[in-house]
This record gives sequence, C-alpha cells and structure tokens, in this order.
Amino acid sequence: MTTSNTGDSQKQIYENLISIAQLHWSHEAIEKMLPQIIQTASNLDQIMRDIPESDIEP
Amino acid sequence: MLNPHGLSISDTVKEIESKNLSPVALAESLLDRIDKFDPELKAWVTVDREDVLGAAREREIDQERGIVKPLMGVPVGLKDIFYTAGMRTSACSKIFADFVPDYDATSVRKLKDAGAVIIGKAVTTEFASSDPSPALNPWNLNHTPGGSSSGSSVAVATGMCGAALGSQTGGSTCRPAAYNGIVGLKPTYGRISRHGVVPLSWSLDTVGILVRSVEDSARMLQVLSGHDELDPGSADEHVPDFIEQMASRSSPPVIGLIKDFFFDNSTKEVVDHTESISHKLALAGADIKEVSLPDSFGSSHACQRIVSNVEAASFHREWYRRRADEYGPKIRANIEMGMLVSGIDYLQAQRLRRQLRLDLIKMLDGVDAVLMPTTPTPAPRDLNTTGEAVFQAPWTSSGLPTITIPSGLASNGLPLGVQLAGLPFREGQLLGVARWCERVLDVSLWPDNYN
Repeated sequence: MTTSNTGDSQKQIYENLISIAQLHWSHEAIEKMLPQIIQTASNLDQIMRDIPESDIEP
Repeated sequence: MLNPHGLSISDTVKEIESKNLSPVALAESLLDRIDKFDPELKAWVTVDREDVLGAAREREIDQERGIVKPLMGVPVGLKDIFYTAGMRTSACSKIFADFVPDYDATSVRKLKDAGAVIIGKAVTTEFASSDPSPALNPWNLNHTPGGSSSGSSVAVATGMCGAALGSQTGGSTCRPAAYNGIVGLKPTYGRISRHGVVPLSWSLDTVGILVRSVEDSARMLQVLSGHDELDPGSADEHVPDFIEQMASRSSPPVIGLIKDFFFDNSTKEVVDHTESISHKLALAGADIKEVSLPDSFGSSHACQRIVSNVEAASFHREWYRRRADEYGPKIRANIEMGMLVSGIDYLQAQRLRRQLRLDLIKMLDGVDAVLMPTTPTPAPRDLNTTGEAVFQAPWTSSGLPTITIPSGLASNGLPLGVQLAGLPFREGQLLGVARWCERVLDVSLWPDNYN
C-alpha cells in the first residue's frame, strides 16, 4: 500500500470516528478528544492494513 | 539477629517452621516499616493493623501445632483491585470508593489457604489504567514508580511485604517491577484466576506477581495457579511443579536476543546495558542467538490498545453514563475511544492477536526463552506518567508468559531490568532460564534510604 493510500484510509477512519463521536458528545467535547481520536484512527488503520489473509478466528 | 524484611519467601517459611521466627514478630516488623516509610512513599491504600496481627496470630497457632504450609506467615500485599471480604476494594477510584466485597478473590483465598498473611491493599492507578497513582519511586522520589501495580512494586522493593499481587493488561507488572529493581512475573493468560479481580480488559487482564527473586516468583505461582470455573478466561491446564522445573535447569540455556523494535526504541544506555548483559550470559555459557520478530508484531500495540479500550468501555459503560466526571482523564479517554470502535474492528484486532500468538510461538522454536530490555529507559523523571508499556504490551496481547529480573543501575542511579519471554503454559522452563540468568548476573537491588 502506498503512503498516500495509507494516509487516505486513515483519514477515512478518522472521519468515521468523528461521525460516531458526534452521536455521543458535543462539538466542544469532541474538540478536546481529537488527539485520542487521531491515535485511535492510526491504530485502526494499522489493524486494517495487517488483517491476516488466513481464516484465523478471534 | 534476623533481618525479617530481607528474607526470601523460602527462608521466611523455613525460619517460621523451625520456630526461629514468629509470624507475629514478622508482621509487626513489617507494619513498623510501613509506618516509617509509607507517609513518604504512599504505597498503601488500606492497612488494618489489627486484622494483620490477627492473621499472624493464627499462623503462630499453626506454627505451634507444627502445621506446614507453602507460604506460612509470608506477608503479602494486594493491589487494590483484588476483592477482600470485609475490606474495602476501591481500585483507587471514586466509582468504587466505598465498595466492600463480601468474598475474597480466588487468588486471595488461595494465598490465605497457603498460610500467607495479607498485609494490606496496595495503591494502584485508577482501575489499573494509566492515570498516575500517588505512590513514589523509592530510588528517587521525583521519578515515577511505574504503574499500574505501583504500590505493590514499591512495597516489595522497600521490604514492606515479602511479595505482592499486581496485574498486567498492558505492562503493569513487569514495567513497575523493573522501575523499582525487583522481579515481576506475568504468567500465561489464564494461568491464575481473575475471579474477584476488578477488570480493565477481560481478554488481556493477567494476575501478576511481584517479588525479590525468581525462586520466590515460582513459589507464589505454585500456590496461585489452577483452573477456576468462576473465571471464564481461566485455562484448564495441568499445573506442574514449577519449583522442580525451575530447579531442574543446570545447563546454560539457549536464549534468543531480540534487537529489532526493542533496541530501536531504547536509549543508548539501555541498549549498551542489554548488550553487556547478553555478553555476560554468553561468557557464562549461554548460547545467544539473535531472533527476528514476526510481521504480525507490527500491529500488536494497536491491537492491544483497541481491545483494551473497547473492553474497558464495555465494563464501565453504565458508570460512565452517569458519573463520567468522576473518572481520571486518561481512563476516561480510553473509555471514550473504546465507545467509538466498531464490532468489526474489535474482532479484527482479536484475530490479529491470535495470529501474533501463533507467530511468537513459532519464533520461540529452537530457543529456551527470548531476552530484551524490560523498559526503553529507567523510570522517567515525571510524576504525570507511569512510563512506557510498549515492551510488555505485545506479550500481554499474545498471552505469553514474561518475567523481568533486575540487571543493574543506570547512570542516574535508577534500576534497569531485562525481560525474558517463553512459551504459553511453560512457566517452569521460563523460570529455569530466569533463575540461571539471575545467578550469573548476581544483581540484588535495595534503595539506600529504605534498607
């Protein structure tokens, strides 16, 4: 996966997380959470890129 | 004249059995140390002097009757997430501030049955997460003692108890053990029951052991291990004689040295120190082979954080809904991030964890254990952090057992440790390697001001 693709997918995840956050909290509260949301998006992006091809179960 | 706070578990039991040491005198001596040191170190939440002396008197009656128990009279501290019947278990949180369980955790019951004297409840970070506790590092009060098992580690390091229970969800047993210069054992996931332990993350939480020697960790593990139907994560695995397995290693081990990731993320001092430890072990006869981490290691930290946050959010959901402002900022952020993660992503993280476990088991093929630094630096000079769990999280995530042993002092006078990891449910083998290393290195650390 190219760097720009990685950046795109992380941005997409970040936007999804923000959408979910808006269901829970106010705009002001979400503003304060942004560093953690960025970190979570990065973690999820890493997981998405490493999903095993095997049929391994959880 | 005996110096009871410096005795190992086996020597304590031996001295009590031979009636050279009274369990009451031992308990009183440690309670005096707590009175003396704890106003400064803040390692304890609850110490009930009368309760402790009452338990010690019962052991004295056992002693007079010649009853032999594996932990006879040994004073043990409990991280304040272990349920203790009739004694407050607050998890150092506002949410559980007044919680008094009406039963003992399985692990606490096993300790009592084995003759241990519960000396008190040790300080933890709130709900065993990342908001620093008030406990201070006895090697330098301006440095963190680590977390989340901070009080348990400080108490053992300063001889306020002979052993303590902690837990590890990320790096909460081995990291504070290394920061305080003691031995920390995180057994295989499922080896010790968590029934009656306040959870942080069900699929990661592992009961940990904090002691002053590898042999002491084996003695504690022997008492605590075993299947428990009351803990859904408990493994129905045979419990071998760990002490015998540990003692059976006489020949030098084959050790895999992991440089990638661990050396890349350590200070030069820690890298040089670990290299020198590896060299010493090789000179003593160990076969040191460099091993490489599997690809799945790359996402191990991401998986550990996602799973931990989601499960913490699940456990805390109702309290968070009503009392969010009563949580510390770091655990609150973890819960909030857990609320954002989809079920699909959570399961993908769990699938990756399974893959990591299989790959790490493969990596261990041909070696008795793998070696790495326990922490990237000595305990940081920052009381707003509990330090870095990145060198423990992959092992917790994969469920493999690890042990840290003290290996020396950094230039700033703080302890350093090395960490060994082994195959699941092969703790006896891991303990054998660790004890061999402990003997070769011959490092035993006591902070000067608390000797």
